[in-house]
Amino acid sequence: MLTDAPVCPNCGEDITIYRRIIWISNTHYNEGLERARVRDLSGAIESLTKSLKYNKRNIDARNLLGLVYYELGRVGEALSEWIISANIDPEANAAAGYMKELQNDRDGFERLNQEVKKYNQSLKYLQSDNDDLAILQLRKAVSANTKLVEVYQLLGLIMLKNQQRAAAKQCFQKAFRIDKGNIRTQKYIAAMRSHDSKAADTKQSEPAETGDSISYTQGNDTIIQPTPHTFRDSSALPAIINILIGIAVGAAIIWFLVVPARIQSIKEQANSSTLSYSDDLSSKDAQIDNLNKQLETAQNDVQTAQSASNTSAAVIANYEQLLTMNSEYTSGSYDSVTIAKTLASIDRSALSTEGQALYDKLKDNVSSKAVASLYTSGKKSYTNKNYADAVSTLESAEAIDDTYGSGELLYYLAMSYEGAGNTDKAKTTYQQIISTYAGTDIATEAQTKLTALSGTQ
Amino acid sequence: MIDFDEELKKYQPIPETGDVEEIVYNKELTDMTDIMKEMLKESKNKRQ
Repeated sequence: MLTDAPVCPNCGEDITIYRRIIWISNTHYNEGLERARVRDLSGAIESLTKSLKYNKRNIDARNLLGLVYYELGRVGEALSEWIISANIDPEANAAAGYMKELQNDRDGFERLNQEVKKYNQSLKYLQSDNDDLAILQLRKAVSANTKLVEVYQLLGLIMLKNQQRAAAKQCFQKAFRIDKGNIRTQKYIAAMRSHDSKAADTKQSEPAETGDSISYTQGNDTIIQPTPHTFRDSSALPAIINILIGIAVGAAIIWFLVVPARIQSIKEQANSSTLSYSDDLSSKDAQIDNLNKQLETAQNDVQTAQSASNTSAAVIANYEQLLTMNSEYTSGSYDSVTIAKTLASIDRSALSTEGQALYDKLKDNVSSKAVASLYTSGKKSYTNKNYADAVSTLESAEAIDDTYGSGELLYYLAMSYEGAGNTDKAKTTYQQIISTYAGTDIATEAQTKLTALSGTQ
Repeated sequence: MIDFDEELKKYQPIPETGDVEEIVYNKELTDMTDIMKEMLKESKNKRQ
């Protein structure tokens, strides 16, 4: 602990110079504090940095420097100052409190860091001539209400480059509000003021026509020049004509420029709508085709299934009939004609091998008896001139065995057709006998009958 | 008038929070008291 004495109480060294150094450091700290209070933050940084150059252990100066950096959004530099401060004097140091607050507000801390990153990124974009991307990053930082003066300065510069002077001015003013002592901001504002002032001077120096004279400024002299007198007509007619011409010109401009553009726009919209509808229509047509195909496939499937079902039903019916007939036959009391007729209606090819064997066995056992019975009955009907019954009975016999009697059955069937007036069928049957039993007596008789039948017509 | 390209060259990246360790490590912490102590030490040595 130092006392007011000019020497150190421990080692006895002269501490006059040391005291002087500490005093200078404190003076700079006080100056930094004053500057910070009036928001001259750049000036405060300068003073506090000087203070620390004289005495690095000036904790107040270092903590305040961290605070000023923090106020400028430079959180990395703020943290580094507070860390050094806490290391120099670990006890009762405000820096520890600042860091703890930062730790507790993770979102705020991260937001500040993101703003720094956006600025750094925009700087990279600008260096690679990607102004648009840089503006995007800077605007994001501005919308987050960043306190980084550099963001506003850089955005203002870009605005100025893009001739957006009002926006640039706003940026520089915002930067100035954050840090009033920033030399760069002051330079930009001064440059803009100087430019505006020159522009105003140029405007003023342009000749101003007032009444009968034109006045303009040249250096410090104001030159007033009389204007040549012009004829002024005080009547209202020229004014009305001018207004009418103006209206006509305006109408012509609208008609020739605005209307065609509007018509073109409407046409383009209509074309666009037509194309859109056409696309929709094509899409719907394709959907309809697809659905029709699906429907067709489904219908085919249904038909196939129906056909398969019908076939199955027919096969089942065939078996049922076959089994019924077999049952009747084995019972002993059966009608051979009924069994034979039923067998004739059964599709043999649809049966299994065992079914076909049973079918053949039944047919062999009953068909000859049934045909004989039917033939006899049919012949009797023919003799009795009951041709319709004869045709019906003999057709049943033909269905069972058309070779019965070596043509006799067919011969009586043909004659029954003839008797019933069915000449065409009679001729066909006679022709069948002639071709099947050629060279036999029955064929000769059939030929005679056919000749006679053809001759009568 | 402000020259955009010239001004742009003056802007430097701002250290991020990830750079804190590097900043602290590279910080020049020599102050006037250190220099004074060094001078006193040297003058003592000369006297001896």
